[in-house]
Amino acid sequence: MSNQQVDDALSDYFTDLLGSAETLADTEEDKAKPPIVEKIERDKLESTPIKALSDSVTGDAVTSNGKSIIHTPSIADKPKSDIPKYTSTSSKVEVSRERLSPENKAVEETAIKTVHKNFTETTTETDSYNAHKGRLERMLRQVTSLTASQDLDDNSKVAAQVKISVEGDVSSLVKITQPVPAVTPQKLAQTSEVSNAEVSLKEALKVEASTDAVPILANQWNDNGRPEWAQESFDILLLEVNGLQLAVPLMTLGQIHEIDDEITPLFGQSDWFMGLQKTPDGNVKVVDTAKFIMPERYRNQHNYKYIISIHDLYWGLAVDNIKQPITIDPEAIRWRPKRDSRPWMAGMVKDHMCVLLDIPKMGEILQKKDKNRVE
Amino acid sequence: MQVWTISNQKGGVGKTTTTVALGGIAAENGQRVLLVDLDPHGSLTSYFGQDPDTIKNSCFDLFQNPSDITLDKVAQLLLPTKYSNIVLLPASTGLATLERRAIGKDGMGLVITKALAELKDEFDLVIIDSPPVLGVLLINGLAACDRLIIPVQTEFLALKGLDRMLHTLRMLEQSQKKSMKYVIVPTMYDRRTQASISSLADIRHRYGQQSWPGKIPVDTQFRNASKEGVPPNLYAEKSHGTEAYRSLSKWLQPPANSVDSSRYWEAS
Amino acid sequence: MANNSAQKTTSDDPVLQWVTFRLAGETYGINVMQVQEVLRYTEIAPVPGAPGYVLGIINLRGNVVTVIDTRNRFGLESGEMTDNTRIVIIETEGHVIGVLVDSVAEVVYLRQSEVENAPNVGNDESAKFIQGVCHKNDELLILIELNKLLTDTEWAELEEV
Repeated sequence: MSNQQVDDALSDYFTDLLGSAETLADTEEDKAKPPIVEKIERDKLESTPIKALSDSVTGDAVTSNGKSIIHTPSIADKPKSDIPKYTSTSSKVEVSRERLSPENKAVEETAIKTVHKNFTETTTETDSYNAHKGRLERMLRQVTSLTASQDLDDNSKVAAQVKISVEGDVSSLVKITQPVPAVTPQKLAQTSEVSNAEVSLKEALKVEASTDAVPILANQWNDNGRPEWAQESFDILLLEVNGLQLAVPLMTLGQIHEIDDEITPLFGQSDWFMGLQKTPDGNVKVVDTAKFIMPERYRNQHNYKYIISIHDLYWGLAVDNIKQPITIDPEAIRWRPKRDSRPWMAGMVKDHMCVLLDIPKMGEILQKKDKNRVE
Repeated sequence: MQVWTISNQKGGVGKTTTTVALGGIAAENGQRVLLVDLDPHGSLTSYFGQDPDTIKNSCFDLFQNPSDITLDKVAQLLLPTKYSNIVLLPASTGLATLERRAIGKDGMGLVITKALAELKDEFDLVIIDSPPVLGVLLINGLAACDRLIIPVQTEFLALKGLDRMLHTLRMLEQSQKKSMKYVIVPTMYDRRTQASISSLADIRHRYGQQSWPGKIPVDTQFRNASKEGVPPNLYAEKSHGTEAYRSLSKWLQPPANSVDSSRYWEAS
Repeated sequence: MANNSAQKTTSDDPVLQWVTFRLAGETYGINVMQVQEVLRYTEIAPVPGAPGYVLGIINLRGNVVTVIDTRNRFGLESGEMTDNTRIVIIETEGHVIGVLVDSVAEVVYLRQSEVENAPNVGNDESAKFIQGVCHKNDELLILIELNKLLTDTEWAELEEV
């Protein structure tokens, strides 16, 4: 007997002794049906990938990248069953398919596969576009809500940001406000309805996609003694850390998060490492900014309210307060192209007499310090 | 009421010893224990001084009329033992004839499940000793249990038998759409032999996550206790074997007032 | 055949079980395979002259088991004993030791793919005990690599305790 035959015999045996799961409580009439269900299920097991079908039919948590349901048992809970994913739990679907003629069944299967494939593609596109847009808007909303004094409404705020981004030929400027967009301009056109904000956003993304962006974290300083990201006017955010005002270049930032009570500290780390904070995008490694850049001034109590993450990195700086973004002319900064000390200080903002943090450099330093860094 | 089935399609791995040891320890801890013998060979029944060849009332009677199992009918078959909170549902050699009749009748696989359902207020723990044969009796044991304990002898061919057992379990899971929770227990461990040491390492390597992290050693006291018809923990309170079973018992069933949760595993 | 596909999924991304415990306000996990049992706090007899990370010894059914001061090992502040304090008996690299924890929680199932790398910034040796982190039930579990808990030298030291 082949292995399959043995297994089939076993299956039949179990069903004879115990009934099949769906029919245990059934009437006499239904008891006659189980063999058909069993037979169909075996057929299904041998045919080409049906995972797509069973996912949409049963709504199970199995996706094509293999994530699955996890059980978390506790004393009080009775464990739930884990149904093997390769057997459909919907026998009704199987019975009706059996009634189709062979040709129709094949056609139907192809149709289902194609629809599912298209469906997945379309939703993924819309999702990533919406995700980027959402992130951008959220971050800007955060910034605007922190600056009650500003009159600008959201739309024009977006437009203003985008406008700044589109100006100038350094396309790297555009990259700050959203992580790498996966969509091309053509696909964008097919999705959502048009509003002012969205039009501006689309334009920004178009510029982004069609030019060669310089990676923002290339820690490149040019011959004119200024970083790559400060060749033209650029935006800075004013921050408050431990009573001190600091400036950071907006374009080198990732996201703004409210600091959580739930930061998880890890033992054995340097004292400027506060721990991991969970964000929708993943765990952010949180830096006690004051301890990191000025341990000697540290007053040993902090009032951190926000975490600003570094663009493209899972590192974030804890800060007390964030003020409105300001556009700065590179001439207004006293730059420090050569640094023997304080590698994180890009320069001094003359008008505000505050330090401009070299965020890309800090990102580089933090990454280097991580012995567990995966390259 | 918890129901554990001790099972392995391979014989001689320590099923009966495990049944009595765990049952004895649970009883010692104050639980009301029912031990069920589903093996036509009747080792569990013999352990407690009964003769499976001549015994009048046994679980065989339950299989006569699977659709009519009541508390009264079941209660009549229960046999108290010398130990106040250990009760036995014995086997008889007649059980061997059930296989032939199993397919004809409906519900033969769920007889023990139904019987135990009637007893759910009478006992805290039920341990079922099953035969080393894939048949209607083993199926009854598998269907009735909350947890399956698979003793595996630490010797060279151990893994082969285990693979087969686990395959059967997976097929059963598929068929019944119910997940089987099981734990592998390495038994008969002899630290003086290379065979034991290697096969234990093999078991841990392949099935570490589904095994109890300990092992039951060979212990001559098990045989002595069996001869006397006394559960190992009462016969030899401090022997290595008893200690190991105590550790297993704690693993399976942490003390009721403890905050630790119990552990169980799934076939797939 | 269908069997094979189920098995393949499992072995590509195995589900591992972790016993979780609380220590100094955080939740840690250790591989269930290494946990032998969990005891309520009992008298730990101090051993004069023993290394700083050793709390003392206990009698476990006739065997002497060394109990490690987990907070000390992890560089955390000392804590108070409570009714929930537990001694987790673990077996690692052939040694059986006890580790003192604030409380033991549930057994948690995690897929390999759910375990993320943890950063290691700092010069403390203790950071190497952290195997990774994982989100579970709205909190971050810190997974501990028990095999690294003591060096060979330290194991040898323990023999003499």
